[in-house]
Amino acid sequence: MRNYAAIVLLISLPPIPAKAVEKANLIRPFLENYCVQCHGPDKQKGDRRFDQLTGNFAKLEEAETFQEILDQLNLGEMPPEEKPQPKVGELKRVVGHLTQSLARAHELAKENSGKVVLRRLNREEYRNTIRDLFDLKMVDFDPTITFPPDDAVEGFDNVGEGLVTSDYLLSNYLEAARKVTDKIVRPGPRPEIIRYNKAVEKTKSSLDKEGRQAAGRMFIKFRQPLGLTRLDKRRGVPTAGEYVIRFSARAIRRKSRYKDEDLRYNSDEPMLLSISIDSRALGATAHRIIGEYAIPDDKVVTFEHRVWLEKGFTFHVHWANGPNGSFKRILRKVLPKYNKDALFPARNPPEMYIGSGPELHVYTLGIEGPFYEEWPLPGFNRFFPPSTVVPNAQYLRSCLTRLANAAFRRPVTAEEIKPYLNLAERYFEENKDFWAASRYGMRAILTSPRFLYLTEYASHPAGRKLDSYELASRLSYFLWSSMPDKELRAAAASGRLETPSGLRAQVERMLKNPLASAFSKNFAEQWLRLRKLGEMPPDPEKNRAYYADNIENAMREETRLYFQHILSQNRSVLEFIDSDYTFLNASLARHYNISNIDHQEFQRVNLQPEHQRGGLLGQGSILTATSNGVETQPVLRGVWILENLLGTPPNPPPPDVEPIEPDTRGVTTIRQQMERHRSNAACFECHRKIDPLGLSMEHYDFLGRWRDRYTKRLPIDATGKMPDGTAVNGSAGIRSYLKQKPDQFTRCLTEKLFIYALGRRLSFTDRDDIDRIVAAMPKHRYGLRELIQRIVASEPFHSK
Amino acid sequence: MKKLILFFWLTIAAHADDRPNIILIMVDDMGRDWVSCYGAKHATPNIDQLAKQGVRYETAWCTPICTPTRVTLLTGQYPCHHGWVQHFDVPRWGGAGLRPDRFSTFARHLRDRGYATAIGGKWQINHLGKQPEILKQHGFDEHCVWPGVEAYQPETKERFWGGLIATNGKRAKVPYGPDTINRFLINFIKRNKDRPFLVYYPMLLTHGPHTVTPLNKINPPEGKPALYAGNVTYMDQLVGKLVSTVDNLGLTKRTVIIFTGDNGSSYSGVLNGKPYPKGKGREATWGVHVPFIVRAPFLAKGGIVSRDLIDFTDIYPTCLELAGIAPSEKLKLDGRSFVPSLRGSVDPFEKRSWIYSQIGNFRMIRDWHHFVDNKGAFHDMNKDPLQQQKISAQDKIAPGRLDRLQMILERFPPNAPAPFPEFKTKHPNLN
Repeated sequence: MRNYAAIVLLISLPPIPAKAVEKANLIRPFLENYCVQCHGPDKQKGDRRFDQLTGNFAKLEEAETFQEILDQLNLGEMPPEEKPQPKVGELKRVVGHLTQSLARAHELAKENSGKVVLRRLNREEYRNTIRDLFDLKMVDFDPTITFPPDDAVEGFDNVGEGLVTSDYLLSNYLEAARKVTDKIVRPGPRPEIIRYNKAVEKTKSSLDKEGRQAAGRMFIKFRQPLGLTRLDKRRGVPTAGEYVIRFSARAIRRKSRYKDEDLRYNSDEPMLLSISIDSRALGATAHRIIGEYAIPDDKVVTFEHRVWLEKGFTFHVHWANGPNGSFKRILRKVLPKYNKDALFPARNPPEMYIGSGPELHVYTLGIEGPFYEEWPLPGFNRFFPPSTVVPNAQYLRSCLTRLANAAFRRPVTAEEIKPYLNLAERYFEENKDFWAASRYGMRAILTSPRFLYLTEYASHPAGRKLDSYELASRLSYFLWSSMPDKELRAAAASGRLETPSGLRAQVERMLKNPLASAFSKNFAEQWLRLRKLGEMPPDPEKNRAYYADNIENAMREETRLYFQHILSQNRSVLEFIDSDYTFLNASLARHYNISNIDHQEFQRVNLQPEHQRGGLLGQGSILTATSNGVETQPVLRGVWILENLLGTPPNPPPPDVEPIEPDTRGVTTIRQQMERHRSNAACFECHRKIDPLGLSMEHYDFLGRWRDRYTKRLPIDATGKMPDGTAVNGSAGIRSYLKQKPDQFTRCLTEKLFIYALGRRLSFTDRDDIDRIVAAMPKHRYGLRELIQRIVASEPFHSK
Repeated sequence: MKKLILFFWLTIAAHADDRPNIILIMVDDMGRDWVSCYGAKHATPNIDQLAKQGVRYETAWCTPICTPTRVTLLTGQYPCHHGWVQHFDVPRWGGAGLRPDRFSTFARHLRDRGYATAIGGKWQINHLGKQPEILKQHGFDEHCVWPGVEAYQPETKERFWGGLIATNGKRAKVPYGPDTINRFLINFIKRNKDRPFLVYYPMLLTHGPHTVTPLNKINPPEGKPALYAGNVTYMDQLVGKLVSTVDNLGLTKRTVIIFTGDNGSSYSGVLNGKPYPKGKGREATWGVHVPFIVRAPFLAKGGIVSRDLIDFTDIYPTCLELAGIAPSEKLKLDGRSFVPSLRGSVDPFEKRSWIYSQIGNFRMIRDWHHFVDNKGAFHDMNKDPLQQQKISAQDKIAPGRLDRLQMILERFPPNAPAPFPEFKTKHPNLN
């Protein structure tokens, strides 16, 4: 059943012609014979009641209800299999009549519905826009770090209805604008290069801290960090830029007299030195490991590492694979095993251990920078080009105008820009500080609704059609989650974007651009509900490989690469249902129990039937996200398939349903526990559609691994019967069931793409366009790129 | 032609033995508080020079009094094993003294393997009059010693001015004992420069009675402490002369020189700006914490300060390792060689983690950081070197260190029986 939300505006429709009313006499008896018993005054199964329908398609709620009825008849899911079925001819007549009437109602209603709710940039779009507007590396700089998360509507977080602007967000916008402008505006010469070094000459002592340092090497005690005290005291680097970190190190006694188990250490691995960066101001969230180096035994090696550091960041080096656990433990518990003069479990003197076990010695450590490829930085230069004149009000106006033109994503009129310029000029007059005034003006521009919202002018002379600039914005936020680039802007300005061929060419270009990875990530993750992945992590004790091999990220990557592949190769969207390939690395292949894969990077892998995979339903990310980290949840999986592959989400459960007690004795299967779904008719209404899908997926466990049985005593029963009578067995059965309904899947995907592209819910007035697109897809082998092209070319995409 | 062949043969023969020479210099009754390179106020330039060329050990222990120290270092065993737990002046009080049939000394061990050996200074653990061959039996080819105050031999009372010195069996009164002995040893070295030699030099200085020295004879200082200080200065000069001899003969690179003391000072010196308690005979760290400087250019570069732990039972094994002699199964040695430490080894398994000393029934032990004795004392030697404060209750590490040191202390057996009957008579309750 489709859920249509109520449209905000009231609509009044012209009266329906007489012929339709006549034909209403065809509908009512049909409803009474086949529908009203379950959907009438006595019972309202699925919360639906049809005995009060008048047949007046003018009323929007009625039209929606009839649309639902029509859909169910078309799907063959109603009347249910065990109830009396209409005769073929009767059914055809009713379906035909409903179809026609609704089509007419669509046309008439279109003029007055399907309007976009004004949509602001969501958090990611804001971040990307700042990145592209000012050409910034956003590696450790995130002005949105304190922004509230955006609400999702229909599963997508870029739908205008959910993008509320609270006063908290507004104060965040002001603060973010301040951070961004402070970062961008860097007039003056290149910053001086700083050099901090720690390299001690060898002297004579032994054993104590001064002795160790004086002995010419710094000693990384197990996993503790080693850094430059001077840099840390100054709270990190003075300014953002590229820095070079240099160090020389040596691995001593990688294999020592101590056994690996005692030290909790793997002496077969070469010693690894890792470099991490952090910021005192940003705390634990900013800690990142930027590189790892293998240090050879008994030979001093020198390495250089280049990295972009934001202001206030510092770095430390660590012995990444040193003995695990504390030094104290070694002194207390390990040493007595090897030295009879050490007492268990006293804290024996460190002098009894140091010099006998594995050690990583660092001889020199230093940092130099900042270095820049260009100065002034491009983001600054773009809006404040060097001027021969001393900065004055005229220069201020021209720079701010340049910025507004870029930030508002359309040419600004003098009218529009005047208040901003006046504001900045007044500040400049009062304070005489040009750069403070320019930052002030920039902040005003960056907190303007023309920047924060995808503004579409209401009173446009062309009616509801978007103009070129509005179209360019909508297109770039669809495919890049960011603002239009120079070329797209030029295409808009010249009018090329208005032509079908020009538009098509731009879409092709944009999909080939690396920025389109934002589309893969944001659309695919939200369509497939993968943002939930990681919310219910499995037990670390029982699933060590999951964490050690980083399977969660590997699974996400598999799905991302899969989607990316289908997109970039314009492959059929039906490959989402089933295919004979996927993308794996060695760890994930081990997890799936697919042998002979040993490449650490992800590569395309051809699947054999015995692997039992292929398409989205065989991918671990989805299978894990639809489980709870302990066991599978067939209902969740069934609902997932209905929502995201078939496009027919079920009703939510009634409010008084109790959760199933998990069976800890392990004597019943989940199927047996869900017995109540079958025995209770009210439950069965919806669950006859959900359960067969979910239970057929039971061969995949809660981490997506294939299993033949639950336990020795409990086999898996993966058979099921769909509401229209089709028997399915296992995931292969589901896949062939879905492949028999290619148009249904395509429609579902098209709808999802439309919601994401338009940033609004769909209304039934969009159905025509969707129908047209779905009908055209078989001709183009259901290619995903083609689908996107058609969506971009469709009328709703060009309408406000 | 024959001479040439002989010359070559001799040269080859001489160079065939490249075992190092060993000179062990032990000052009598002087601790670290009188050696300037340890932070003392009193200047000892020649000893400092030795430290600049070698390794200065910060933490070395002997025993609190003369004769137990000497027996310990000669036999390589702790007093609780050799039985000589308290001072016993054999020449004065009689008795068999150190018995060569019961104990091996490092001198005898090295002599039996081809070293030329000599002793200069004070012996005191046998009656040289009654046992004229005893020094040879203990392993010394030659000797130039003051025999100690022998009962009924008044001429033996003097050791310094007009002291009675026995040189290779012949006794004679000499103008100034320490000079005679020093000259003898210099001469011995010159005579044996072409073969490996061992010189054991338990100096007469700076033991009492404290008198003037040849240096300050003309202008004598006033008061015993000043006289003692004068003795220290003269002793430093004598050491300088001996070391110069070694250097002038070109033996620097093949000679190990060890400089140490036999127990704490007779008079309180000033260490690191503060007065340091006099240690002779005391049941405390200042009784045993002596200077220990090793110059061994073929093992260690100069100017090194080491926190490695050394006690006097280590000297015997070290001499064996330097001479390339593997100890036999039957030989009971309590210490371990400090050659790895000299070499700069960082491996703690090749070095000690505690040192021990005792006098009478009193026993003490320490590691790099803490001190424990069998009377219940427990001190943090870094914060509290003068053993005046209790360990803070806040100190979380200390209890574990205490437990460890007590465990090791408890391993030591009760004192061995008295080494000879007269000892038991003098010290009835100790063994």
